[in-house]
Amino acid sequence: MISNQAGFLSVIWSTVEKDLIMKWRYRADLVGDLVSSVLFIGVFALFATSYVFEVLDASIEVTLLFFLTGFLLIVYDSVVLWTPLNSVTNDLYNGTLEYLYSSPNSRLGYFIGNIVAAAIISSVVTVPAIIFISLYFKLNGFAVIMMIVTLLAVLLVLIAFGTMFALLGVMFRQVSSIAGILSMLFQFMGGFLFPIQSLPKSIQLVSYFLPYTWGIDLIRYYTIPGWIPLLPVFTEWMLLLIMGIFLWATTLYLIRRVEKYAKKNGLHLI
Amino acid sequence: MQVLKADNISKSYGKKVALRDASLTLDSGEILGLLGPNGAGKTTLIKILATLLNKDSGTVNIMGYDLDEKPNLIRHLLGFVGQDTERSAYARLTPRENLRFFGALRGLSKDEVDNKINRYAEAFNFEDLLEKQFMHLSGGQKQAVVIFRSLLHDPPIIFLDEPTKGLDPIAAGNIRNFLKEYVLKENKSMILTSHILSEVDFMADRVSLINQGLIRITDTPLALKESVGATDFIELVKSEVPSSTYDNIRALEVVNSVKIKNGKSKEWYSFGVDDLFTGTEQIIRIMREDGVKAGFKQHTITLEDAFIHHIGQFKDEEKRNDK
Repeated sequence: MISNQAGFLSVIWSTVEKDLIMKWRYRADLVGDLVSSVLFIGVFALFATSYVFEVLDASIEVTLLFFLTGFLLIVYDSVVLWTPLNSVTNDLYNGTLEYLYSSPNSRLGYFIGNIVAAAIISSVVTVPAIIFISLYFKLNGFAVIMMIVTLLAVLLVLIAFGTMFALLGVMFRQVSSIAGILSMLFQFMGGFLFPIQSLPKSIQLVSYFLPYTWGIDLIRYYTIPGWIPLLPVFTEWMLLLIMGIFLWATTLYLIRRVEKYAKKNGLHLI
Repeated sequence: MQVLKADNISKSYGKKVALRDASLTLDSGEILGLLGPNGAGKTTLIKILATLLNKDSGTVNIMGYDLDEKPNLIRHLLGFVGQDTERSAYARLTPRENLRFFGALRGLSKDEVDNKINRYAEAFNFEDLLEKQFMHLSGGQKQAVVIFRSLLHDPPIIFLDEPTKGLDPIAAGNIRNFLKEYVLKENKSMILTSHILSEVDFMADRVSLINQGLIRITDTPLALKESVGATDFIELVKSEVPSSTYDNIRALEVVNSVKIKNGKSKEWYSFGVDDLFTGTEQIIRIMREDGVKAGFKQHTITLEDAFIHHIGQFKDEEKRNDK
């Protein structure tokens, strides 16, 4: 009489499979993503020939590498911030979230599944970019591995961020505009496009509380020869870990609270 | 055997009271129709029972489990179909892919879902549409997919919120025939809301009438109809019946009530009769004797009549109470 319990991994797997099938049916989007990433790289190359960051005292190659590593995180930032929020918004609108919330399954699995699928889809952009960076700048094996490991670590931390945004979407309409503003702020303050050192001191202080800052600094440490990290590398890894633990603990707590809150108030469409 | 018991459920959204001490029960193998005007609280009640909304007060026991204590366990026992099902599956996935995904959220493997599909494909006319994208299906086909989704995990209790809303009569008929047979054969229990009262009359074993968040009456459809008074009516166009003829008809023993009903363009006398055959014979005889030729029709009471009658009574009572 009692049906099976859908496990955490099984929910992730089925959500990933569902999202990949749907994305495959929107192949034009994939092509668009690929074209836009090539354009991005081109634009960054142009920037690199025109901009000299005084604080870096860098060559054109280093500046280009600075931008490209920032670009990698911009892609993942979009994936983790927008994907769960878009999924929740669409599923609320479609009524599929009602099914999720009336089923005994892992809510976290659903959020993560959507993000993992988007991360896999975004590899259409990131993998060529990583290959380009590795070959063009002649990175050694260790640098390539550490770049990928750091990217994955940052992605893992950012999933918690993205899930928090999605939870806001469960409670309130029109969260997208707030997410857009925050995403842009994070990109500027996290040092994606400008060196942290070139930002005003007060903004630098805020930057230190963002996981992006440490993620991008570590990636640049492993890929850009002579890059001086903001703090000792071990400390940066620890900060990333502590932020990750804090964000995940908060997210797990919020997942339960938000469902209770939404079901009490009948918010949005639930 | 009782599978669901809800006692004194109340729910407010801010100052707006959606449910006031609503109570109902559901037996094994039973279909309970939940009827009420728009905004009466039907959907709120169904969503509370389906664990989609939290109640403010009251208790719900489903198959021996308390809703507050074991919501996750109770979710295993429930199938739920909400409103607006046209959009409640993934448009770019086929019905099979949708059902496999939603089945996975219920812990079902692809094979288990496929076996279910094979078992019921004929009843749902699924054969030709399993590999079409959901967005290309008709309204009835989409509805069938969403209803089928609620049955995937074989729940003993199913909640359906207006399951045939917006469907053509043939599609709606197919769905209600399947559901009634399914409940009967598989010994399931179902709570159904609908504004199509003939549907509820056909499907439901009992009907609860809800108005302004309060369940006012629960009874069988027949008993609800009989409680109106007469079950058969003979109706005459009022302007074509002279007062003397009206008096003669009203005096007949077989006539037990009379009401004036508004039609599209005219008013009608509606004479409630104890026996349709005798009443028709005697009224026609009086009209012949008086040389009256008036618009004439017979009408057997429907659940819709009973609904209008009772809801009207509730509203009158509430107006009196307000005064």
